[in-house]
Amino acid sequence: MKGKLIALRRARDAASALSDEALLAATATGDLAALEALFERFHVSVYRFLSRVTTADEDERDDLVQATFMEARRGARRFRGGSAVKTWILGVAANLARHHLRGERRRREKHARYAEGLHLVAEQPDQRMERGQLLSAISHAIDELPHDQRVAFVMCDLEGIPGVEAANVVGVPPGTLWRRLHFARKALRAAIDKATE
Amino acid sequence: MTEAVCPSEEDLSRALGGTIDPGIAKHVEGCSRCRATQEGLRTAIAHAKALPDVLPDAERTNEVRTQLLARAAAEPMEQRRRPTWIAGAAAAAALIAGIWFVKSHRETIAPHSHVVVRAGVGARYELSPPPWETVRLWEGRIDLDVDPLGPGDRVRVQVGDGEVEVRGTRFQVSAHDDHLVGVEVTHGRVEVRPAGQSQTVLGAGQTWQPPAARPLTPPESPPTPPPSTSPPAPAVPLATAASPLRAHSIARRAPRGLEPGVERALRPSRQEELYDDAWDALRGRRFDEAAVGFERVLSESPTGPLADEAAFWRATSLARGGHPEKAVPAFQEFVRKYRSSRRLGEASTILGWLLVDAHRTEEAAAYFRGAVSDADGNVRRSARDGLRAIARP
Repeated sequence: MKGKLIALRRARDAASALSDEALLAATATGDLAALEALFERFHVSVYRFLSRVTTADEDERDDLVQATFMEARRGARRFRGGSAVKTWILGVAANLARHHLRGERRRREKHARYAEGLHLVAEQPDQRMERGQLLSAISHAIDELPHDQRVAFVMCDLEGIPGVEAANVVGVPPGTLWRRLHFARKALRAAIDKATE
Repeated sequence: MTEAVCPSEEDLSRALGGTIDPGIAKHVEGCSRCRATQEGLRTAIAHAKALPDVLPDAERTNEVRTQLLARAAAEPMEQRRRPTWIAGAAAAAALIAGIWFVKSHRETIAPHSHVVVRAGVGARYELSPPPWETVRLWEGRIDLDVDPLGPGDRVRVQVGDGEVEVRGTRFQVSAHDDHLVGVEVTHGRVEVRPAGQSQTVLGAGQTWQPPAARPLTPPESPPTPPPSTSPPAPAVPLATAASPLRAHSIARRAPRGLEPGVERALRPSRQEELYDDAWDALRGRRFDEAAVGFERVLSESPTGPLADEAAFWRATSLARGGHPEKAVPAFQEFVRKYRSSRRLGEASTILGWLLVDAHRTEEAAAYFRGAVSDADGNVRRSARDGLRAIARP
């Protein structure tokens, strides 16, 4: 019994000590300890990313996180080092999110609820509420962006991923990505202008 | 500065991120309009960055991780080359994760197993299949619900330094670092056999702790290796076939070879016999008979230790027997009467769904809302699903 325990600890520790690239490579061989370590390392980023690029509720988001790591495992052999592992995994998540967003009805429902929330916030006069209203407007504007623009914005401006890397994992030329990013920024600026009028 | 010489807004935007074009940077320095454009975009980014992060909570993360590993284990990769010790770890992880996954998604009434295990945070355990079901516990606290056993059935909890044998009961076992640190019995009877110490029989409401006063519950922040890395249970049970307590329902046969006091303690009460009979009927899908049986337990001992369980299972029997018109008031009474029952959330959720079926959505929503923060993740999920179903046009 003790021997097995020691071996397991070694497995976990060893996986945790690997570089991102080595961990992904180990995951590609079917190593579950590596997959678990990969999950530990990146699940918060993936969860946060998905919460920004989709309107999924908690359960759906959990499913998307799980699916992202499953897809990462399946596609790990295709990773060629053209970007950071984190960026690559977020690219996988972005693709899954695109499929998810085809449920447009879900989005509309969320926006309807959002509008109700805004209405309530708008009735509050103090400054904190004004700031809350501004953030709500921005959040709403991000939700309203076309998926590709939203992914570009979240990856580059919120996650801090270099544009070329983001373009690489999303599978578009850098110029396309820059254009999407610019449109997203413009839409947000317009939302802010409107909210502060 | 004329418009003709100003860079496009897209170029200005691009200059905020990637490589800075010295020409644009120089232009912006001297052009208030371009500076304002860039400033507006920069402000938009800053505001977006100020949005609060949505982060996963620990419990949900555990669920996702476990399900991920179970799915991955069920989907082998084409080539596997890894050191033997990692292969062993992965296999153990897959096995444990798979078992955990199945356990966490099982129905409340499992025809093939006698045990429902609810694990606390950080608990590491493994359940072997019937007829000799053994819960191997290494760490943490687990809550077990054990159906009355039939001939040849046996349920035990094993820890490194002791074991607990159970018979149609509900109880909690805690372990820390593979040592038994506590047993609490909600109802029924349990026999505790710590290694090197005399055995003890516990009845409803009684607890057991080792002589060296360890805390009953494990530390609040145990080292929490996930279930997927638990070592496998020993293949050979600690007790042998010659064990005097082997495999009989106490309602049917008293165990042999015990001290008279222990034998007396293990003899079932009248309520336990009735309860066992009702359970047998429920397991045999004789729902009407089960409902009558549980009702009898309630009428004979309305405040006894089995009353809340009997009330819950009576309502469940009615629902499963196709009598929602009777099941609804039965669950309503349960929810009203047993506010501190651990089945409160479960009952509220079942009731919610029955009311949805009856198109009584407002009442259903109230019961779902009462269960959305239940301790059990499956109950919470079901309650949320219920609320979503009601909100749908």
